[in-house]
Amino acid sequence: MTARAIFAACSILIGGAVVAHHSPVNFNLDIDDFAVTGTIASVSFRNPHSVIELQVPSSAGDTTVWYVEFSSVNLLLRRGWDMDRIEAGDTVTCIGNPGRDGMPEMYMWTIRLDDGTEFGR
Amino acid sequence: MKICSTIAWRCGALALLALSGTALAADARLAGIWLPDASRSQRMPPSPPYTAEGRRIVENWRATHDPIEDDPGAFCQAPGMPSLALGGADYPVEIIVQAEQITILMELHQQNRRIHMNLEEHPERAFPQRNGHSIGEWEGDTLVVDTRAIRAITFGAVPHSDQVQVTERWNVIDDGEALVNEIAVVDPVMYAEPIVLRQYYTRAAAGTRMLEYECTEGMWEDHERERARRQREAGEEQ
Repeated sequence: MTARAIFAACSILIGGAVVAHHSPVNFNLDIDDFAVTGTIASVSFRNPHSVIELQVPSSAGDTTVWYVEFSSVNLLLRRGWDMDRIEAGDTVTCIGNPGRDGMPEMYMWTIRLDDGTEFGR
Repeated sequence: MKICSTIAWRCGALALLALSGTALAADARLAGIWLPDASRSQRMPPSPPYTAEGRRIVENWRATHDPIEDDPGAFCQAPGMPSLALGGADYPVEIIVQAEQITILMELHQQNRRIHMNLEEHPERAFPQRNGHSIGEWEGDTLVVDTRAIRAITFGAVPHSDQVQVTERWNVIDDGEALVNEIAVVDPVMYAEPIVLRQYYTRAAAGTRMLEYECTEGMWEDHERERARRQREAGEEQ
C-alpha cells in the first residue's frame, strides 16, 4: 500500500496516520491562494515540515480530514509565528498550494485564525 | 653587511606582520552568522554539462525513483557537499574561526564542516563522506578551501560521483555586510566541464541565534501514530 493510499484510507478517520513531508512536486505551485477552513484535529510543529490535520465539514454533512503541510518549525519561528495560538480545536483557514491530484491535502503558506490574525511567510 | 642583514630581517618581519594582520582581519570579518541571499546567488543550470556517464546515472535515478514516494527529503537525507555549499534555503550558517580550524555550522539538517587550516594535504586514504575532507588557506583576504573524499550522491542540487573535487573561494564584501563563496565543482565522471557558481550571504542581524534542526522527529512522530493505531485496531479485534 502506498503512503498516499494509506492517507486516503485514513482521511475518514480523525487522527489517522498521515504522510510525512511531501515533495513540492505534489502541490500545484501555480496556485497560492487556495483556502480551506475547518477545525484543527491535530497540529505538529516539527521538521522537516509541520503538519495540521484539519476537519472540514462537507455540504453532505460528513467530515473530511485534510492533510495540511507547512514550513519547518525553524522557519516558522523566524517568521514570527506564535505556536501557542494554533491549537487543536481552533477554527482556522489554511491558505496556500492545493494538491495536484484532488486529494484532501495542501501546502500552507498562511494561516488565518478565527480572530483574523494571520501568520505567513 | 651587518646593517644590510638587519634591515632585510626587519623588512621581512614587517612583511610577515602585514600579511598576518591581513589574515586576522579577514578572519574576524568571516566569523559570525550569515543568511543565504537567494536574490544574488546562482543556481545549478537547468541543463548541466553532463558527461554521457553522468547523464546515464541521473536518468537512471529518475527512472527508478518516484518524485513523491522516493523523495530523499522525506527521509531527512542531507545531500552534503557540494549541494550544501549552494545554500540551505532560508536557513542560517554560522562560521567559527580558529587558527587551526574554521568550522561551518549549517542549521539545515544540522550539518557541519571542518576546514583544516593546519594541513597542506588531504589524508592519503580518506573514506568518502557526505561533506568530504576540507583543507583551507588564506590568499590575502580570500579563504580558499579544497574539498575531496566526498561520497557519491545522485540526488540534491549537484549529483556527483566520489571523484568530485570542490574549490571554494570565500570573500567578505560590501563593507563586511555580505559574503560570497565562488564554488568550482570538478567531477570528470559526471560533468564534461567545471561548474562554477557564486553563492551570496548577508550578515544576520544582531541577536540572531542558531536553532537546532532535528529532522527525524517527524518520522518518529508518524511511526508512533501508526504504532498507536495498530495497537488500537488490535485491541478492537480482541
